Amino acid sequence: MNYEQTYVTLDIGTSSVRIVIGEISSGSMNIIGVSEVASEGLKKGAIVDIDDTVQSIRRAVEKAEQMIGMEIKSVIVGITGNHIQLQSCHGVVAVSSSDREIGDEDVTRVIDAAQVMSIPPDREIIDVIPRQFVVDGLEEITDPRGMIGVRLEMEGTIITGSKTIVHNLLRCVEKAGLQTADVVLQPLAAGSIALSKDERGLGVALVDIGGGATTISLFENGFLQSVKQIPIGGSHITNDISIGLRTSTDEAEKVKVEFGNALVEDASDEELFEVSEIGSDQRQEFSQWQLANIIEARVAEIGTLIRQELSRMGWKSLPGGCVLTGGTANIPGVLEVLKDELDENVRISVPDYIGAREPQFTNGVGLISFAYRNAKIQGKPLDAGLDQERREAPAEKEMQPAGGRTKPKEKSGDSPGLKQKMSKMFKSFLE
Amino acid sequence: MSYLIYGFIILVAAVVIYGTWARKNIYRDVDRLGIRKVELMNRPVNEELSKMKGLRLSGETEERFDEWRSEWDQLVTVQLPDIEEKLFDIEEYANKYRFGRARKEADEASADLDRIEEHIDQLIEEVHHLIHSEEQNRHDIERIREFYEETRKKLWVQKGTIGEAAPKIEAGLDEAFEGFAEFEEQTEEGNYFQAGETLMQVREKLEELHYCMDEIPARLLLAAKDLPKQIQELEAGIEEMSRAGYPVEKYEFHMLMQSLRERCANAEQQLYRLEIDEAKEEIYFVEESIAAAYDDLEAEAHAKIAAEQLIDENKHHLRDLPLKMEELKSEWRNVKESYRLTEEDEKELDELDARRRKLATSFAVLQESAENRQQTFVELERLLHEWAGELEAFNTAMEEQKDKFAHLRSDELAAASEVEENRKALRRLKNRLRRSMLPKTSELLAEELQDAEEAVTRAQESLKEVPLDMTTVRRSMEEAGTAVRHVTKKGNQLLDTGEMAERAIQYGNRYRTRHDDVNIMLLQAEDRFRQGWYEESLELAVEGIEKVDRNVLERLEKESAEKNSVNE
Repeated sequence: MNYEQTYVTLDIGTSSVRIVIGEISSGSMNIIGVSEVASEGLKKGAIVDIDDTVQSIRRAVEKAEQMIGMEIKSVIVGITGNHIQLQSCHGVVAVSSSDREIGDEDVTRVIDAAQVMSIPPDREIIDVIPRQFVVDGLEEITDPRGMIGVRLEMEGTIITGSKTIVHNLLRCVEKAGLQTADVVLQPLAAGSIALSKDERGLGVALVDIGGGATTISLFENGFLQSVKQIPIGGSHITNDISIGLRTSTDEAEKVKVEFGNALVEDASDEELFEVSEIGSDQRQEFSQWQLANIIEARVAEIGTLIRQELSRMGWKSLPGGCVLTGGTANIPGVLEVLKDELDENVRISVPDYIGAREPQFTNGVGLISFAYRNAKIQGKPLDAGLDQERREAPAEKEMQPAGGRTKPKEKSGDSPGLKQKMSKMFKSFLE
Repeated sequence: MSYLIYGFIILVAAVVIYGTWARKNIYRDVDRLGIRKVELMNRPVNEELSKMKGLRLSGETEERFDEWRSEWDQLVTVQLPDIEEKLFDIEEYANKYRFGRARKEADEASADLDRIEEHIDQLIEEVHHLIHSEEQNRHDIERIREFYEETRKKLWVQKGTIGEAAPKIEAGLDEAFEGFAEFEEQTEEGNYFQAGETLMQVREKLEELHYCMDEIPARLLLAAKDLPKQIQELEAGIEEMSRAGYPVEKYEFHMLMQSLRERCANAEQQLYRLEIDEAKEEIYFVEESIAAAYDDLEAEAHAKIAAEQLIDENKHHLRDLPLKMEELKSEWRNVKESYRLTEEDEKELDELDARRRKLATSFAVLQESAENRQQTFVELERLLHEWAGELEAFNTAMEEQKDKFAHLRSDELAAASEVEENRKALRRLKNRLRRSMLPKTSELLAEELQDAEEAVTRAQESLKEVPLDMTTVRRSMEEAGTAVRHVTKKGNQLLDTGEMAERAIQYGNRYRTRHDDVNIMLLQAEDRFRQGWYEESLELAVEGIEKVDRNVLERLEKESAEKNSVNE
């Protein structure tokens, strides 16, 4: 494994915390490990209890570490919400080098220059996304490094977020014992793998139906134009089922996954299941058709809200249609119901990476891809996710106690660090 | 040359040493044989023969004496001296170094001495035997005379109880007395052996007469009085049973009684003729026959009660049969409306009805037989038991028929339930396929899934037919079950392999950048994975990873097992 190019992403959602570990190699990404645990401490996409959130993050990290047999040290964190604002920015710098060749430093300076603007005190810059570079008036340059010029300009998008929310998020990550390698806007990350170039160019809505919220991101001309979040998601469907069938949310979630269908006409009256009645030890039998009636109503409502939001965002028609992602998109029939509600072309995007082929991992996988490319363009470093000094053989990894990070055992004799040093020494001798 | 001389000298020395040793041995054997010969000559044969002089040397005794005497003389004067000469010859041969011949002669001499010794022993034994027999005779004659007196006294005492056997016994005693005279005569003549035999015969005779006198009184009483009386009583009992309605004439007791009487008379005569064993046999036969006759009568009495009971019981059962049969027929008509029944089923019902009618007829016959005393009650009871067995078999057959109808209904319900289970299994498989997100799985299983669904649909349709053909239903169920099991097994295996292959590739990704060979194999594995060739994909991935990380498959399987147990 190339530790320098192995990244770990952290997607903190209302229903689940997900970690994806991937390695970038020769321009392609290979998934090394994934983990998903139930999330606590979040409501409608926002952190409401730091300790619970920290515990959830730790559980996810431990699970991932157990899977790969290595320690995670830093993560790329995804962020989204209605506090996110996008605004255009522009920066201009003079090329610093004597030979007028544009280097990393120039790119960094122009990006920094673009950030010089008035931002409310309760907000902070999360990221700057260059849309194009202009070198001596020549536009639509994606990477000016190596070019010769005098004047370097950058037009991009500044992403800002609420200081409180951002800091709370990073605090949770820090308290979980992790370093933050980068903070990336989730729609950007998801869009980087879920959408095609044509879709981004024509205009498309990326709809991430998560557990507690649905994020609607509009892309046009290749760039993210706006982001909105509506506070309704898969967990509302689960609640509806829980109320409708008078059962616990755990059982409601299970039947939703096992038997759920959002389209009543596709649901079967013969497929039956039993659930425990809440507050008693009796069990009741229901059919998939009855379940579908509950689910379809809520999914239709989500569709209506999406349509209304798109209209508010100024979009009446989307040439690229709608692309669904997120765990809730997995429910059979959701596609058909939303097609009907939105009256657009709708498809479901599933990441095509072996090891992470479910819609709920779109954000996690996208975070690696986007963060890597963005760091490359901006010329900024991106910390690797794994601790090279503290890695164990996969078969010998012990279970970490829940909630705590313990120091790993140091091996006697040939410690991994010593081994690496020896092999380096040997290599240098050969060279 | 010197070697030859030495060799010659050694050879000569060897010959001399051997010769000396062999001769020594032969001389020793000769000495031993000589001593043995002397011992035999000194055996006390003459002393034994002289003991015979105390007996009367005449007749048989004299003959024997002379014979033994001459044998002894022959031994002493001819055979033993011959042995002596032979011994000299043996020494001669030994001196001449003819050791082989000497050895042969010595062996012959030893064998001759063995024969002589045997002869002498036999001679002595015969002498002893003769002397002993004379002594024995003297003792025995006294005892036998006493025995004779005893026997005679016994005859006087029991004359009254042995009837016409007394003269015969007396004649026997006279015969025995004559034996004494014969004995004296033979002893006088010196024929001691013969005398001993005569004495034996007298004793045997007396013992026989004793035995007769012991046995006859009791046996005579039985044959002449007791048994005839028993026969008479038996006849009276038979007559009484006949009057009471028992068909005793079927047993032919009259002839039996007649025969028994004749045997009793025969036994009596045999006793008078002192044919005790034959008489005993006759008496035993009569006793056994009387006991058997009583047993028969007792069995007949019991059988009458049992037969009457059986007839009463089975009359009720028989009365219910037509009603039960009618109920069964009615049920059959109802079942026929809902289910398709075969010709065989119809035939079974007809056969059942025929059996019912046959039962009724045979019962009537048995009843008549009981009323008209057409057979013994024992036989009647047996036939009634047989009939009861047939009735039970008939009732069982009726129950089986009812069960068959009930099973049709339960089979139908079971089939409906099975259809539902098959549908559930297919739905579970489809759900798993959908959730797995594995590429190409739906295509790989499309045909089998469709076949399975069609089979289940056909099975379901077969349940809707009226009347329901359960044979067709069973066949459809089997086909559907097979198809569903096949597709679920294949589907689950495919999914398990796919998931394992994905996990293997994911695991192997950590080695890609540093190991080109692993990377190449993983790329191939990925390609197979996307084509849906999961088994091949897994093999390639594991093969690649095992170049740098052993036991990866074991680890992955363990992980998968742990994950499955958590999910369960």
